[in-house]
Parts: sequence; structure tokens; C-alpha cells
Amino acid sequence: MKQNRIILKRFSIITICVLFIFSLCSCNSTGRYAKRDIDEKIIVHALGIDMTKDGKFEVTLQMLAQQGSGSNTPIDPSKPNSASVSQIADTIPAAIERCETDLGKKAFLGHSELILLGKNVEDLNPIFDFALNAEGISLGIFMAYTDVTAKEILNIKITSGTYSAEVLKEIFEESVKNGTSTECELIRHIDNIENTNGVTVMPIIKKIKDDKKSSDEKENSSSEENFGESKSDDSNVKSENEKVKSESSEDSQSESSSKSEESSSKSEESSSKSEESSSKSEESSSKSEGGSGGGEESGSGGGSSEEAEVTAFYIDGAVIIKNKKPQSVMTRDEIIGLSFLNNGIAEQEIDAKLGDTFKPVNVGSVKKDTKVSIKNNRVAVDINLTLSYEFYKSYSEKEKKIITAKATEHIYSICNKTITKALKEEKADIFEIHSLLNHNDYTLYEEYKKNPDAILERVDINIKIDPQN
Amino acid sequence: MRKISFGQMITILFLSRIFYAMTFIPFMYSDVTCQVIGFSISTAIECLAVIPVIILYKKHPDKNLCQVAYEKSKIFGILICVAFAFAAVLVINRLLRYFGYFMYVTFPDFLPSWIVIGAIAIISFYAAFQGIEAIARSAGIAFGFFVLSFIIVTAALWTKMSFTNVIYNYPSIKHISHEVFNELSKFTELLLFPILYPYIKEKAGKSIYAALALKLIFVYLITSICVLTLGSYLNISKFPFFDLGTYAETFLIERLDAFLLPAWILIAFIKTALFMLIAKIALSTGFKKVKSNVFLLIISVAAFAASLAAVLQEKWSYSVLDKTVIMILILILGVVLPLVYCFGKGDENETE
Repeated sequence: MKQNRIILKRFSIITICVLFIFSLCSCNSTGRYAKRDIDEKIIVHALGIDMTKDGKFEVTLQMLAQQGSGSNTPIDPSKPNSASVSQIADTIPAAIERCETDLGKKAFLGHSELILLGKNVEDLNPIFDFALNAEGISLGIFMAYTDVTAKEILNIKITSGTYSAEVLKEIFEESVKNGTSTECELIRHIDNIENTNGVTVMPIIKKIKDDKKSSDEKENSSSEENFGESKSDDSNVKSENEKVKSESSEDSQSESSSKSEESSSKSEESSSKSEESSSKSEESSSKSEGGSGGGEESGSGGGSSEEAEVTAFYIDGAVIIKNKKPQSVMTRDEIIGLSFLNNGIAEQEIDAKLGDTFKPVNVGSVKKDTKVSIKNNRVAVDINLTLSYEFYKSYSEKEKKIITAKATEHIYSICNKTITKALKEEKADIFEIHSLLNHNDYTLYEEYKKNPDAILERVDINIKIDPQN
Repeated sequence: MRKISFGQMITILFLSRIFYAMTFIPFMYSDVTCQVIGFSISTAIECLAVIPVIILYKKHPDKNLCQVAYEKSKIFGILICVAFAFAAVLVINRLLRYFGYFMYVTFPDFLPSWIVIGAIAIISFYAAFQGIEAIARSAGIAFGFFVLSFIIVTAALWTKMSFTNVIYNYPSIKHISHEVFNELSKFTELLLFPILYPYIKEKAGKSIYAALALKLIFVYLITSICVLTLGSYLNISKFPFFDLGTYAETFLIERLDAFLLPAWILIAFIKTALFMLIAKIALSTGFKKVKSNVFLLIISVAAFAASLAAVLQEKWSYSVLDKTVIMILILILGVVLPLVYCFGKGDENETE
């Protein structure tokens, strides 16, 4: 009996404590700590940041469109599942606040997957400041550039996948695996910037446009300064894609390109124009290998077209950032070279040229050994790459040897191109040289910290590829 | 007197220390290399510093330091009891401020910091009111939760760790000594142990060494994972261990920071409750005529009021109070005093 009373007494005290704490938590109905229900918040999936001509920030928030969700099913695939809102202000938080006012809800950034930067963004300082200080933004959020405005990309409403930003994230993840993109998580950018003189590499995401739009953009291309080089690469990729189609190599179709097919086939029903573009998106996605997602664009950026266009995304090249400012653009091949040299590639289709024909071979990284030595005041970084090669079964042993040699030659060439571009031309430490020096020669590392450019001038990167069949 | 087991004592001592490691290690303004060397040196010093208390325990296994001092000299004993209570108030005050700061930075719009620390103070008061056994049992749950969350976060981050993220610097004597001083000012186990050792069933001496070893292992693990995963982001990270949670993701959960939060709350609560308890024990030893729970109430209110004043002004850290004063109290109460009482005759019912 006495024991029961004690238990009852303890239970009462605990209940009073819990009730007291909860009542304290919920007593605030106004001010900073005002209680907000879940329906008073919007879950932001992606943020787009553009610069206006007068130096202001245009922020686009992409979130789940509730009208795309059926009442009984989680997602209604016939409707686009994302919505977006844009606002312009002097600072990024102020622009977000205006978006919140537009929506009448508080934006929750904790589940954001992507920060997309428009081509006009020329100073990353305010963006990093925002990303590091904004409440809840994950360190794993992807950060990338686009060759148009971020608003334009985020306004594309994809009907496939769970939601648009997730499709974009999958594109990045797949591209990192096949080496067409560098790692682009916020924390990796910060780590690179902290260790070097503000150097990092941000992939560029592009959309595949229809003929009408492409011709419009060609006219405008003379006025676009930042990614002019990248634009020419885009056209190269397209022409290569057409070539791939003519070869009709079915094996190169990736999983996400089939996703694009699915979504575009849905759009085919709606308009004949969509049909043309969807076949185009299929072509490009087959080459971009995983870097694509299909969807329907219902109006873009500032000058939105009212006609629906079927589009797809792909990663094409990257921007070298130096001193937290975009410096130059790397091509898709150069990024593949960089991936071979840095983190390795899970698998990448390399076309070995034999006479007039191309023979595809699947190359993957197995091992990487790096040695640093100092000779005659030069820093020699010897990178030994062990790569695996996978062929079509129909090749003979002799053919395999020739294809291996040709593919290896191609990899040498793209790696050297990357080294020339980044190290010799841009003096950008995107090869983790700071880390190599820190682990191998501390005196040199101290010199590097004082004057990175002077040390990078003395660095020679030598590659040796060990093919493994 | 209800006693706790060897394992529970280790858990209590370990948790009272790991709060700082979870919150501030590796510290953003210090070099990681110096910090790692500092942890090793400070742990070695800590191992030496506990020897007088262990000898005292062997001489007086059933009497805590306050009781020993009170028996030798009543007035001096009362002074020692008050000093222990004062040290406990300072430690609770520091912990509540740090916890308030952690919540203020990581969940700024969630709750006002004063409500957070108020809630911790109330729950801790209740746990201290229930006694050492209740705290020890709760510590077991908190320890289990901490280890589980640590394993899950580490597993989720495994693929994201890279040796290229490790950037070390040549350590300087000045920086290392600074780190050693910092670490020793957090060595509050030396305030807990002389009061709590009569409550342990067996192997009290071994329990503190086990707790120190466990602390060192986890501090190394936390530092290594932070360095391998976060790289130079550590230079700007206020709460590195918590940031691991924001970066970690599994196929089911996008981010694990919310998963880590209960471990923080539980550990903060355990530590606050422990120091409320030792303050209560110390004062009730010195002032036998007053009911011990009155002291508990006074201590809780004093610690909370001091923290509240700081939190409302958003003053999260007081360098002299948090480091120098606590460090001096640890040295006097945890090392010098036991050393003085080491000499002389022990109790008749000596054990171990």
C-alpha cells in the first residue's frame, strides 16, 4: 500500500513537470518563438539564387505542390509535383522572407537538397555566408551552377520521381559516380575553399532545350559572358548525342535516361511538339549517362513561354571558382579527367577510336597511388591510376588490347587536358595538392599557405595508368 | 545507504565529462593537432591527480571528503562543504549556459533558451531529489542512447570519410599548454568522485580510471570522425559533433541531427542532477540540522537563477569563471585536500 502511494506520488510529480514544461513551450503565441503548425510551413526542396542587373538577389524556392498530390495517393503522376516562388531583395534572407510573405507560410530549409546558382552570380561570398548561417541548411546540400538562370531550371516541373529537387539530386549523384560531375556538397566546397585560396569546382546543370528556344538563345549568346565556352560545349554534346543515336548503341542507355523516356512518353500524349523534344531528351540523356531527368516546363524565368516544352537535365562541365568568384569553365571531358585524378570513377563509357569507328569500353577506377617528391625546386606529384576495362563479349583478345591502348591514350589525354587547364592556366588547386603537401612536406605546405600560386607554378603532375582487364 | 554498481559509477563519471566533448570538441578556434596532444597530456595528468582521492577512499571507504574534513575540524569542514557546493553551482551554471547556447544556435526559433534550461533544471532537481540510484539508472539509459546514436552517425558517415580531409599543423608548446589547461578545467569528475565514492559497491578506484580511459577513447573517436568527415569546415563549426548529424544521412532518414539531440538533453540532465546531488550531500554534511532537500532546493534555484541572468543577457561564456575559478576549485578540493588527508590514520573498517 505504502509502495503504491510512493509510485503514485512520483507519477504525479513527473506528470506535473511534463505538463509544466509543455505549457511553457506552448504559451508563446506571438513573437519569435510563436508556435507554428506543420500546415503553416512550406518544405523547401531547392533554392535558386540569381543576380539581377542592379545587383540584387532573386531567390526562387521550389517546394512540393499540393495540387500534384491526390487525396488518396501520395503523388498524382499526371500533374507536376513542384511549385516555385521567386522574389527579389537586397539580401538572400530578405528575398526568402518576401517569398514567405507571398505564400503566407514560413519556409523550412532543413530538407533542401540543392542550391542552384544562376549564370549571373559572380560573387559567392554572400551565398556561402547565407548557406552557413541559415537555420537548418544541411551540410550535404548540393551546390551547383546553371548555364541559364536558376529560376528557369527550378520552374521546370517534373512529373517523374518523388519531387523535382530529388530528381536533380539523383542526377548529381549519378554524375559523380560516372565522373561527369565533381562532388558538390556544401561541405566539400567549404573544405576546398578553406584549404586553398578560395578554390572549388561547381558542376553546371543544363536543360535540353527545343529547337525554337535554342535558336532564340543563339541570338542572345553574344550578350552572355560567363559560360560562353560552356555553350559551345553544349552544342558539341548534342551533336555527339545525335551520333550516338545513329550508332544505336542500346547498352549505353542509363537508368535515369529511361526515366526521362517514361516522363516524356507521358507528355507525348499531350502535344506533338512535346514528342519531338522528348526524342531529343532521350538522345542527350543517353550520352550524359545518368545526368538527366524528364519533365514538363510550364513557363520559365523572366520571359516564360506559354507552350509546354518537354525538357531534360544533364550535367555538362563545371565552373572553377577562385577567391570565391567564378574563374573559368571546364568541359565535360576535363571533369572526367579530374574525376579520374581525384576521387575515381565507378564506371565511365570511353569511346576508343579505331580508324573511323568508335568502340565503347567501360572504364572504372580500381586504385590510386600518389607520391610527392621534390627535384630541382620542382614538386613532382606522381599519380598512378589502376583502371579496370570491361568490353563487349564479341571483341577478340587482339581487339581488346587495341581498344585498351586507345582508351588509355584517351584517358591520358583528358587527364593532361585537365592538368593544363586547372593547374597551368588557372593555377587552381583542384587536385588536393594542399593535402598532399601537408602530408608529405610541411615546409612546402607552409609556403603554400602564404602564396599558393607560387607553389602551384612549381608543381608537375605526372600520370601513369595501369590498365587491368 | 543505497549503493550503485561499478558500471554505473563509470557511466556517471563518463557522462559528466562527455557533454563538453560532444558540444565543443574539436574546438573551432584551436588547432586540432594541439587539441589531440592536449587530450593525451591532460588525461595523463588526470590519472595522476586522482591518486590522492583513491588513497583517501582506501583509508575512509564509507566517508566522503566532506565528512572526513568535518571530523578533523568542524569549522574547516563546513568551509569545505560550502566550497563543494559553490563549485557545484559554478559547474551547473556553466553547463546550463552552454546548453542554452547550443539550443540557441542550433534551434533558434524553437524555444527560448530560458525555457530550455528551466526544463533541464526542474528535471534534474527531481532526479537529485530521488537520489544517486535514480540518477545512475537514468545514466545507463543516457549512455546507451549516446553509444547507439554515435554508432549510427559513424556508420552513416563511413563512406564520407577521407584522409585527404586531414590537415595537421606543427604544434607549439604554447597552444598545447593552453589546450591542457582547457581540458583540466573540465575535469569535474574530480569534484564528483570524492563525494560519491562511498556510494559505490566495489572497485571505486578502478571506476574512475575506466571512466578516464573511456573518455579518452571517445574524445579521440569524435575528433577523428570530425576531422576525417568535416575537414577544414571544423575551423568554422561551432558544434562539430552536432554537424556530423546534419551531414549524416541514411536511406531512411535524410539527416540525423534530431536523432543526436536526445543524447545531448539526457547527458545535460544527468550532469546537472549529479552536481545538484553532490552539493546537497556536501551541505547536509556541514549543516546536519537542516533537511538535505532544503539545500537541494537552494542549490537548484541559485544555479538556475545565475544561469538565467546570463542567458537572458545572451552571455554564454565567462572565461575567468568557467576556466580559472573552476580549475582552482578542482585543484584544491580534488587534489590538495585529499592529499592532506592521505596522511594519517585510516578508518578501522578498511576495505579493498
